[in-house]
Amino acid sequence: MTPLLEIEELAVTFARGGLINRLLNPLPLPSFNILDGVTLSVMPGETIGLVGESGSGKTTLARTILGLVRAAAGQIVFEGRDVVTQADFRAMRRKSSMMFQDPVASLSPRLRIGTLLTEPQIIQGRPMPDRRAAAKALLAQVGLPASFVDRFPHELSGGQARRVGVARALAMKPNLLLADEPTAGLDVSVQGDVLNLVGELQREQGFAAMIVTHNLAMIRHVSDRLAIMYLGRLVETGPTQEVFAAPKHPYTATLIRSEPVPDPRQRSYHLAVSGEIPSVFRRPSGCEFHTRCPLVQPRCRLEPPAYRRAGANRMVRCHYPLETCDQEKEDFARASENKGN
Amino acid sequence: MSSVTEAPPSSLGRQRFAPLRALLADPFTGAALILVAGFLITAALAPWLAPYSPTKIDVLHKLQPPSAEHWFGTDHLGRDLLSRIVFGTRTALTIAMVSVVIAGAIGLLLGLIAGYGPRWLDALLVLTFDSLNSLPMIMFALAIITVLGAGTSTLIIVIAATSFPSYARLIRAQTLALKNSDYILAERLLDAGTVRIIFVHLLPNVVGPLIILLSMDIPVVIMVEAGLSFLGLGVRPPTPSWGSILYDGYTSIRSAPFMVIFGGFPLVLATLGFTFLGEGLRDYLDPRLKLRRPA
Repeated sequence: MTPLLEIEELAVTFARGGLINRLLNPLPLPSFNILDGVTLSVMPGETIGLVGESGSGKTTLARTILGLVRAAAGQIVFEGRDVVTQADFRAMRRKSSMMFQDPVASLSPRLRIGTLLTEPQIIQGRPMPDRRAAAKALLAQVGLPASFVDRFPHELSGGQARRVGVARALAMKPNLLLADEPTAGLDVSVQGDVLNLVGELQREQGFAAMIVTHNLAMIRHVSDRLAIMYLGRLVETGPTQEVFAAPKHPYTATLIRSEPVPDPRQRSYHLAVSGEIPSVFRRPSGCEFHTRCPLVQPRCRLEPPAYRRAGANRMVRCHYPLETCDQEKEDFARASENKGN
Repeated sequence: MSSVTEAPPSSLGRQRFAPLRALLADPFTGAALILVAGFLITAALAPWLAPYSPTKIDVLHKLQPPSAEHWFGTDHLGRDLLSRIVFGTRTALTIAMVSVVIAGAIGLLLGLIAGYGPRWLDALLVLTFDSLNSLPMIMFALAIITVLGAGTSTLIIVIAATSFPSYARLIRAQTLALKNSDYILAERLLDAGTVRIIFVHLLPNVVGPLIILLSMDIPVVIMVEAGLSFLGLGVRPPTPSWGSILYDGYTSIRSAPFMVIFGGFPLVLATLGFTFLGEGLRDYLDPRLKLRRPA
């Protein structure tokens, strides 16, 4: 099966300084890699979870895929075709949708829900004899009452607005859904509702979904594959269950271990990632994670690790990937002891 | 599939007049609303309200003090002052509203283009706004009047040309703030055209502060019109205007002070009315800007 979306070595750089700076400075100004060497593929119908801390470039990756942010290097292939020109991106956007992090803010505030729901079809010139009826049908699909057609976005709760966002995103029957933190700001029961809704529609319509999140507990249940990002690079990818069972990258391991476990006996060891994610303006040398890695070795400080295969469907960017679950436990136990407690 | 239960419909009857109620709740705004409504009615019904023709000259009865026949007296040509003031209201409001609406429309359009358009266009437009803003208004007015001649339409052109840059700057700032908001990005992802984004999605969200600014600028424009007419650069005689009434009154202030008093009174009232209405609108539409007014 050919992948729906393939990203090869995608990079996004932001240059500092404007035109005047560039004219005054003979030397090229330093540029900063917001994303670097991101290689990822999405199969039709699969759900992929894009996980990382704030500032790791998850949202930028999603926006770059759809052409809102210009890539400095790399390749995007959608449905077997290279996406290069604006026209290519436009064609791709017609077959994909994005859900933004803030459900209320992503709805135009002065338009009614009915107008907002049917706007995608109007823009893309699909005939619509009865806009109101079409909007009501979409509302029913996401479990909202038909009377919502006359409401304004600010009159909805976060969960209701999210449902409207789902309806709007899926109105065009896309092949790819990019969801940026679909559960942010919702309480747990509503999170469940929204995810179930997206899951049901996904089973019905068969679109692939890329879910950007830092909520591991959620992504564990909804995704087929995980891609872990750190400072604009992918550090690990693999099937969700395998990654959770035996993380290869120490960062993944610390992320997973830092999730609270609702069982006191299970907490035999825990070592949360300490400190903040470094700034992309001052990337650490060698392996980017060495400043925070509990298992850091001298080599990590000097030599950047390659992104390489580690098992059947796994990729990892680490000199010393964790081999087994037991080894991981030992290593972490040792690391926490060494820290002096 | 779970569904969201519907909230009970709120009583619409009470909501319908809620904006008006909220505006009238403030005594200043309420009074201002009545004043402005009074001026609008006066302007609209001028031919029926004025007891005499505003331009009929009757030199035999010139400079007569207020009497039962001529409530506000007569001017130096014997024209009925009350009638001139009533028709002057029409002149003042027409010029003020037409020029403010024209300036507002130009400002809105250029501000949206500058804010949402490419950067070079933005830079060019901002340069234009700043250059126009830097011209002293009276000098600019004199130049335009020299070229086009004094008159109502010249006045409107002068006022519109000098006031649209500040509206455009306001709209540009608003647009820049919204340009990268989630819903505009979402629209771009839907492949909404630039025209659609500007008029359907940006315009309704930036226009609020402009309306407030426009209503607060109407008295300023009335003052400008009166000032230019006072200098003889405004509307042409015999068209009645508050400014020219003041000028005529000023020349005979010793023999007939009532002309200046009655001529200045509506100017003061209109300024107060529109200013307080603008402030009331601002407080109502944008509570964040609410300034604490001494109780």
